[in-house]
Amino acid sequence: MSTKAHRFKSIYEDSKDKIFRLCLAFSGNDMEADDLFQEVYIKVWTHLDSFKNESQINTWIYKTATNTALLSIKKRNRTNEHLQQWKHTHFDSEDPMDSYATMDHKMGLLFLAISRLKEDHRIIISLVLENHSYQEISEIVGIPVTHVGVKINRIKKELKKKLKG
Amino acid sequence: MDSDIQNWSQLWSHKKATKLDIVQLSERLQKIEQVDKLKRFFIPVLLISSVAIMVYRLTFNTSNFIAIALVISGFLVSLAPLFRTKSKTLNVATLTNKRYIKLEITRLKGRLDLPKNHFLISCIVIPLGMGIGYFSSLENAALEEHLFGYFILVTLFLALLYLRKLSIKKHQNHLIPIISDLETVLVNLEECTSKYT
Repeated sequence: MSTKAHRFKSIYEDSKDKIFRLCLAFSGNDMEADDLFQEVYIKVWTHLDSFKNESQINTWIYKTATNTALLSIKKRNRTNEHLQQWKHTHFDSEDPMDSYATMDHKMGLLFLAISRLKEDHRIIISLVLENHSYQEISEIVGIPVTHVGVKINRIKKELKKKLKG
Repeated sequence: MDSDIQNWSQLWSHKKATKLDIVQLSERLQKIEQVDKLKRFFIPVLLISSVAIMVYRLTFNTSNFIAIALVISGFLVSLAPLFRTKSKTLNVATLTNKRYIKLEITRLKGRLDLPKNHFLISCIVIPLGMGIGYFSSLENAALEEHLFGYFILVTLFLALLYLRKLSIKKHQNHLIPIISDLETVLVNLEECTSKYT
């Protein structure tokens, strides 16, 4: 295995869970999340040679992942019909909380609710739930630090509303 | 930390990644990278050597020299936006979301303009170059050969115009909805920035 492949594997092991969660929150279903997840690591591989500052790895990988997710908008246009059908089956039931009694289902509901937010809101809430600081969120998304808190409050209200159905 | 965020964070962290064969993926990517390196080396070498051979053989014929220059310019004009827009999207790993979306919109709009402006220039310049080259070699030819030459050139010109028309339609159907979606994301991001200043 080459040095690059070793480095790639190590980055993958350190980041896979959080990046997958971001992909799932962004896409709202496992199938698209898997595609996006793989696409992110292809981009990571492509840009790995240009990455030097190891201390910035977290911001670097999140910028790669979030930008890739935002560009997946191209694919979402094609699969939107399928997704609408999927959401109808899994989300638009009369009382979603009843059917999501177990933890797995509650978790599914959370990811699905996040995926129904606006794209930038999905990214911000994903970063919040991964315990990123306001400074880091600002650096990844490109909005001023002073506005991150306000934005989070709005997203929180919106997400609560969606979870209540 | 807020209790809602805390609860969601607990649920959130329970989700683990699905299995991705990272060793196989990196091997596949390594192979693609090697092929790309070879392409990057051989394509310019092939292009430069073929142009050099053509120019060398036709140096003493001004018409042919102009013809080749026009055909090459026609191709380069149609390819130029691809290089220009590609260079703007190289920093996926370092750009903020907002900056990245802005550049991506610019890149996609550049692609949208590709058949409109650049292909139009190519549609004119390529048949013109071919015409100059063809007719310079037919100085003493019969009328039928001249007519055949005109027929071929007009057909080529019309075919290129038709391809341009199809290309404009295809680009618009594919790119306009994506550009519009990305612009919505950008507006949302900027709304956040402007609303609280």
